Amino acid sequence: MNVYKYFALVISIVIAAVLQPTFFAKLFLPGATPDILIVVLTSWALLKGPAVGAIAGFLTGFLIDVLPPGDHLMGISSIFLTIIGYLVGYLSQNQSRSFVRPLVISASVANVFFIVRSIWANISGAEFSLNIFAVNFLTQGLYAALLAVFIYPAIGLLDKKLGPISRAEELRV
Amino acid sequence: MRDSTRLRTVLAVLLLLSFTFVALELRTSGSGLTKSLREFTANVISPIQESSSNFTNSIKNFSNTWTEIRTARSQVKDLQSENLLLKEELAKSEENRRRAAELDALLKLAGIGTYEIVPAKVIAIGSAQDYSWTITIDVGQIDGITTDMTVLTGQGLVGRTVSVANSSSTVALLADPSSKVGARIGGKGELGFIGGTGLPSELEFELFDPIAEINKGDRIVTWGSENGRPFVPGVPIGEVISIKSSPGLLTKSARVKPYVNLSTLDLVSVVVEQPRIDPRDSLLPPAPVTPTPSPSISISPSPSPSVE
Repeated sequence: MNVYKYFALVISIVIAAVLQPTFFAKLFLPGATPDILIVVLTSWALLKGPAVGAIAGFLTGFLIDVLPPGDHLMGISSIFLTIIGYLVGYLSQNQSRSFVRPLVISASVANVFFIVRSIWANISGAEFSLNIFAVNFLTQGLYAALLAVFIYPAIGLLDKKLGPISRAEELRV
Repeated sequence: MRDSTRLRTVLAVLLLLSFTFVALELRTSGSGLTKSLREFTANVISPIQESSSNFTNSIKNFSNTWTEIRTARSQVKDLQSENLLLKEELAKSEENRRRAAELDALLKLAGIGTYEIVPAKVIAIGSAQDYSWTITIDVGQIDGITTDMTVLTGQGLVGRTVSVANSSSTVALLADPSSKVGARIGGKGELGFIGGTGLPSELEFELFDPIAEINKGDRIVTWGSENGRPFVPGVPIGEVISIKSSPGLLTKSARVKPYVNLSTLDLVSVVVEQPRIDPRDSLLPPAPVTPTPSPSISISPSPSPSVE
């Protein structure tokens, strides 16, 4: 990771954080809102490893909590997403060129974060409806996989464009 | 290995930072540093959010027009160009007409209730739409908005403002689990609280009086807070859809379906000044079947003649 790549990481996450509530949420698609933030985070973690994954997770969580209309307890999403980004980063060490792999991982991460959020919502007093949960769970994974089709290659390209770096240096922060 | 030590350090620092935010917010209960951080980011980001939201709207309009173009293609060729123009106009005017109707309804509600309102567009919808029920609207401090003001549409209550930046504010919707609204049954005087359940089309109405009578189809209005904050009196909230039997409990509760569709909001308005006279039940939509029983004397707060 060089400076430009960190810059690209921050910019891509900020763009996703702006698009999430103003574009994807306003499309009123059936089921859940497509979670572009999770897909961007997963792509960076998959490409660059646990350290970058954790940083991307922290930044994503911070923006979720702090940008309007986010009204959560500040820092709570950062905790979950830092850990999620860190763990996803470990999957990067198994470098495979499979096209489907990032899609499946994105969908699973989106689903895991959705479950975490649901549990958190229940703790803070929301009611649980199996119907809504099931529909949102399925669509959440589906939308994340669809988004990953475009976002994972785009971020991979960005990463390549911003300069080759040896594998040994990659893991360094 | 050095790498893994560094990795662990990064993780530890980030987690520590997150926990610090949580602790700070809990300690200052949403004021102080975290509040100013929120205000700062809101001021920076809301112009960007607004233009992104406008972009979304134009895309939606365009895609509407686009589907219409595609159906027109199958028709006779020389009609095509004319058709295209006409349909485009139609799509545009339909959207305008819909908005005009929404504004009309708003003005009517505000007119009968004599609320002073500021109309607003929804620019962002809670990122975790599944459970967190918040929206951002495009009016803020410079439009005279402060926290704890009532937000409504032509159909009824939407929620209240919870944080305000220069030109945008965040609204907690009725459905948010943390939301609580003082309410009474229209036509009777029975008081209670409407609480969010985290589900879009169901609210929970809790009556203070365990032996009070409540029926399916009863309509609920706001009861009004002191000085009209956070809720002005007389705004329609919703209709009772089922009653929960709760033997042994001190309160009685019912399920209420809100009049406003909380998951597809577009135009809303913020009440900046409360009515001089409590509008009571005058804002409720006409009763469907039987007329509501004659209003009895109730204990809702008497309107204060606010001559300043």
